[in-house]
Amino acid sequence: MRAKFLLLNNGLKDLLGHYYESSISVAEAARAIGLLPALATHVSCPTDILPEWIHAYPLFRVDHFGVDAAQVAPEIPGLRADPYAQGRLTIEDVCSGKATVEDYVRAHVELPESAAATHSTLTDSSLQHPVEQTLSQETVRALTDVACLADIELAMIFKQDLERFLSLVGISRADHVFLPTAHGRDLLSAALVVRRFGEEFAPTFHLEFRHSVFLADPVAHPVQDRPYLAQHRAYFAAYAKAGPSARIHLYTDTEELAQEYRALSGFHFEVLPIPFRSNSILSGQRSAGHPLCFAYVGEARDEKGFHWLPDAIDALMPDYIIPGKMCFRIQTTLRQPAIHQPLSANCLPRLLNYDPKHVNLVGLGSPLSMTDYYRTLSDSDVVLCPHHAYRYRNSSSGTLIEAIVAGKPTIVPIHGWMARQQPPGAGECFQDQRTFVEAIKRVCDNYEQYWRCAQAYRRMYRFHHAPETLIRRLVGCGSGTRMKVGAPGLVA
Amino acid sequence: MRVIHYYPWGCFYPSSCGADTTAVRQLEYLRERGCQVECLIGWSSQSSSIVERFRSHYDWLDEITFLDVPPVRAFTFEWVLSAYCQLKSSPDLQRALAAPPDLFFANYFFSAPMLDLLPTSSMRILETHDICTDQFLSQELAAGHQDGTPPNPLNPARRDYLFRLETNLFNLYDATLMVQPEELRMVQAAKVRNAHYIPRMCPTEPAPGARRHAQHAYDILFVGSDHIPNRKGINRFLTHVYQPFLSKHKIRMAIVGRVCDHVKFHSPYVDMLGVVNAPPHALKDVYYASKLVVVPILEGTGISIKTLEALAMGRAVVTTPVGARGLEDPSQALACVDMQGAPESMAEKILHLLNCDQARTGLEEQAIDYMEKHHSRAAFFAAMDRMMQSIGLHPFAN
Repeated sequence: MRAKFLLLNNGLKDLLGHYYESSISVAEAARAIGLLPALATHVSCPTDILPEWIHAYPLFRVDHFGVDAAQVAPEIPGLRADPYAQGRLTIEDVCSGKATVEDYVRAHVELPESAAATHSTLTDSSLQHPVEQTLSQETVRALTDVACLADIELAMIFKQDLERFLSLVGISRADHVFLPTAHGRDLLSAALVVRRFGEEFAPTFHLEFRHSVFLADPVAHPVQDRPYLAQHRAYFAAYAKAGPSARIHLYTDTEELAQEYRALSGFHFEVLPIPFRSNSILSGQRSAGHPLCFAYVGEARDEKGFHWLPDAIDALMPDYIIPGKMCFRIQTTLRQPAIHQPLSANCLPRLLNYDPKHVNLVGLGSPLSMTDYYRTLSDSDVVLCPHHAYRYRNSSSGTLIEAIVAGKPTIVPIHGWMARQQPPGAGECFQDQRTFVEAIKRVCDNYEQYWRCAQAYRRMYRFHHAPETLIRRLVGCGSGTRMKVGAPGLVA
Repeated sequence: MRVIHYYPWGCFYPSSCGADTTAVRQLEYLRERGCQVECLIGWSSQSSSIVERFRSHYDWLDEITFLDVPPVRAFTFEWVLSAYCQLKSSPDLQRALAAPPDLFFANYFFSAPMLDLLPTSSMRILETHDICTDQFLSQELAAGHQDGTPPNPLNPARRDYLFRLETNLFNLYDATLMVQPEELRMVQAAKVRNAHYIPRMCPTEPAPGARRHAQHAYDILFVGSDHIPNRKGINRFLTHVYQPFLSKHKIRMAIVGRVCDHVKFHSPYVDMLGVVNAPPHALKDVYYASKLVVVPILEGTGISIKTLEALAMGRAVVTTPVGARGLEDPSQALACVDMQGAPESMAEKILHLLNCDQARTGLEEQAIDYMEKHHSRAAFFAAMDRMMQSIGLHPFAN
């Protein structure tokens, strides 16, 4: 039987962000090496945006940040959400006389009426199973200390949904469960599930932590006000105290984040590539005689510096844009409600006022399809990443890696992971809004030189960040290649 | 050989749907092979006249026991499984199974919990002329349930899960009988080890010569039970094919069966005959009185009995691909048209066959040839004998 590769992406709700690409590209790669992929998404994810070949289960009620938690479990009636009972009772047990047909049916299907009296549901027992008690109590204690107890309720909802997913697909020791954007509460859930299965029967869990635990700007938020940090410290502390599992592997996608999490938890975190379908990038040559196209792609978010664009455009208008040296193509997909991205929402009317031949807006109102997204990226000449320097100092940017693999010069914040990823000579860095504009001017004035450097590194990055590399690293079919990420002086 | 035969949907004679006729054929086979048969029948609340008629037709049966199970199609998949788990404590069932039979012959996998009452020495055969998962889920999608719960959305995850459960339970039987080759392959792919394809028995009954050339009372005919795919299919046909393209030609149409109660269409040229079982409206007579038969269904599982019946009557058939599902290479024996995508094409095909005697007669002859080759009594008996022998049962051939 083919081993399963289960992707859990509770942040996947639509085509926005890295969630979609990081899931689908990895699922494709898993399928290519003979694994059987299945994907569980947030309950709000429309399945028609997913490829038909993938088994998709939109069932997670809690997203990564614990906002918009759905109150009601998605309608998948009748499924008995108890993967442990399933594992214990098989049809062979019935054939061999160890169990009755009724036992088997009741273990697999939540039967109405008669079922209720004699069979407790998982909801009732989820925190009471003896093997779970130590870990869950430790976590409750740790979270109480940091006044984040409400988060454990989300963890339990996540755990129930995880168990439901495992019930649906069936699970064995040979299977892998990958959480490409994990949260501390997911670690608790995975640890509880492994304990219930037992180390000898549990699948292997791979949890990748992609967000800095110091998410907020330290100037705006003092350390004690950072719940993300407090929650993660508590979850890791409880996990460490109750005894870590050999069936759970921990990862990040940058060396900087790995150090951050290592310092926080004491555990080792391996660094994974940033996967995407690089064959979706069209390798067109730039045709001379047209203005250079500077692009902003991805979601319009304050932390990604979307709101800097109108000022930059105004500054460049007389000497660069009007004379036909450059134009802008900007993805203006703003996640609703706009109140979550006030700066971006406020600057949108300004962008709408520009002449479309100077500032071409795409994705207004709804996310781009992946085809349109990659076409926008491929058709651009320079990719702008006006990201918040502190917020992204340790975190990855899928857009940046895609741009580098597409051979595009980039403009990124200085002193952070993004600057260290930028191949030498393949772009410029900025310190603030003024230097952002200066960087754009320099790249525009000397484009050919930047473009040649960018082209030189395409293949190496493409290979390093291939989804196949990631999947082989996870399931252990070869070590994959490891590029020394973050080191200066990368060579082609 | 002592056989207990279980059928969940009430008295199956006189037949009122495809499942009924399946059970009729099974009993015909078991009787022919000299088995002592006792019938267990779900749904005890049928009218006494139906029960009496059934008892009188099957007076050769050793015993008939009615169990208190409501008609399974009215409820959810899980509800029915629950009902069968509870049924195990039924005194009637326990009495019926007190003396274990040599063979327990069941229709539909829901009966699986009843196996708990059987000793391992009893052989078990399951007839499953529908994949219940698909049948129930499509019904749930189409309508609410009689227990008051709202309809469930069609969820692929739920479908896959329940299908796996269903096929796992197939493996508790010594043989699982599939009504069409496509579903046989489907369950074999799901690791069902004991599946056999048994062709549906539908002996040919072409119109006698005199009637074949008589004036036809109807141009087209549709026969259907109140099964949801029939309701949806005929209503779509009437609104998307008949009304826009055929009514202007004054095409005379007859609709037969319980489906008539669910047709919301009125035309002086469309007759709702309802259930017909006695002259002058015996079903056979209506077939003979119709130039061709339409099977405009767009969903369903198993095999379309109404298509087989029409072919066996030597009628030209115009159907959708769903109406032809499960038939082995039927392309010469019927006309298959995409009603959903090309309703006008279906109307054109119907008009062509109505107006061209040669084309219609050609299809009628092919239909008879096809049915004699694939769905004759001999083909059914031979397949049943092979299946029985493969599991170590050797009924005497009469």
